[in-house]
Amino acid sequence: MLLYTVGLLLAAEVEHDTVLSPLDFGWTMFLMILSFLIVVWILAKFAWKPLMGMMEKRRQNIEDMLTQAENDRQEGERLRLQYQDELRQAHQDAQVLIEKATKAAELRTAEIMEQAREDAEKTKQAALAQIETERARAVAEIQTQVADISVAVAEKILRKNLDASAQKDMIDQFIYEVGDRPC
Amino acid sequence: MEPIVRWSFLNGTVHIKALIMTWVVLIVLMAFVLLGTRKLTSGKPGKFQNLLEWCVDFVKNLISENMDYKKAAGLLSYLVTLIMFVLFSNLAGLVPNFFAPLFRKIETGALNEVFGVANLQSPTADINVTMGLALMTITIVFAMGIRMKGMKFFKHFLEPFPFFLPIHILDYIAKPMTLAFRLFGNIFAGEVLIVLMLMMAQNMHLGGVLGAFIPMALWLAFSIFIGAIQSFVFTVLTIAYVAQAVAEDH
Repeated sequence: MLLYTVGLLLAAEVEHDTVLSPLDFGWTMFLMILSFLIVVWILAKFAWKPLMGMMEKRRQNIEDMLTQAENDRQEGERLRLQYQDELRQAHQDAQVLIEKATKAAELRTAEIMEQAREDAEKTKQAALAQIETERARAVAEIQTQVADISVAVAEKILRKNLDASAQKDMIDQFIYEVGDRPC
Repeated sequence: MEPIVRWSFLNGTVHIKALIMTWVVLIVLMAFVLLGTRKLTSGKPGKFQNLLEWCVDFVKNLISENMDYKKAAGLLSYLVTLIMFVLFSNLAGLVPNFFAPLFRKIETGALNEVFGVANLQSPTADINVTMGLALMTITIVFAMGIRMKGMKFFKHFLEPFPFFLPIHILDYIAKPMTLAFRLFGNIFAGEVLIVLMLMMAQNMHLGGVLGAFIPMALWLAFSIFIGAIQSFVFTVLTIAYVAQAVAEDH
């Protein structure tokens, strides 16, 4: 039609007239419908269909993303609850462990105390036994010494031949001397 | 009002200005849309793509508000092209004809009368164009009705009583006529007023130019508004008529 128009113009033989009434129907209507439908077809094929496809694709993308986000959120919530549970469990375990350790420590303390007391008792007993032994030996020594001294006194008396009063003084003095010594 | 230049074509005539303006608008529309869908992405769309997506969404919502969207999903491409074509057409008449000096001397086909003047013409200011659009609408109404309901579609012509048949027939004649004349009347009247103001400016020299300037600015602004409203109305009514035809019950 465009070519036809241009051809007519170039041929310079366009028959034309004019009309005053605007309500004049003619081929314009059908040519217009034809042109319009061709443009509708072209735009539908090359513009609207691809554009709508893109819009649909974007809608799908956004829907997918929203679903994904919702899934992630639920997963996050699940993990949070799980971690909370685990944390609580860990707290409980720790509490139990502490209690156990405390109890064990108390037992051990008691054991150590008992052991210490036993050791002390043993040491004391040993010391007492040793003291007793020492004492017995000391007594035995003193007895030996007393015997020696008695022999020495007897010797003196026999040798000097003293009178009775002098003898008595000597014995008293001797006893006095001996009395201060430990036995 | 200026007379309409007709070219003879086959055994009839064509309104050459309306037809050529239709082609101009269709070419601009195609360029606009194809440019906007050049770099399509399902990620973050560019401004141009965003605008076109808004248009598609707008028409989609109009459909969903009136009927089950799935039934008319196939019409979406047609309806988006329709609303944009009518809008662009309505606005085309508001653009000054910068090419007027080029055509002023061309006698062939009375082109000097057609494009040698200061104003372009909205395709929708010609009854042939609006009637063509309206006939397409009513054809789609019948096609969708028959496709969705089969022969049951014709049963509603006899409802609630058979003697309502003439009223239903009248209804289907009135629908395309009101569609065509509403759009034509709005845009045609707007252009008549623009031409009147241009004539006023031409005839009264300086006083006329100043006197026409402010009304012209106001009227052009208002015409943009009217053009948008009328394209919306035409599309909504097309959708509403299709919705009536495919509705399950009345």
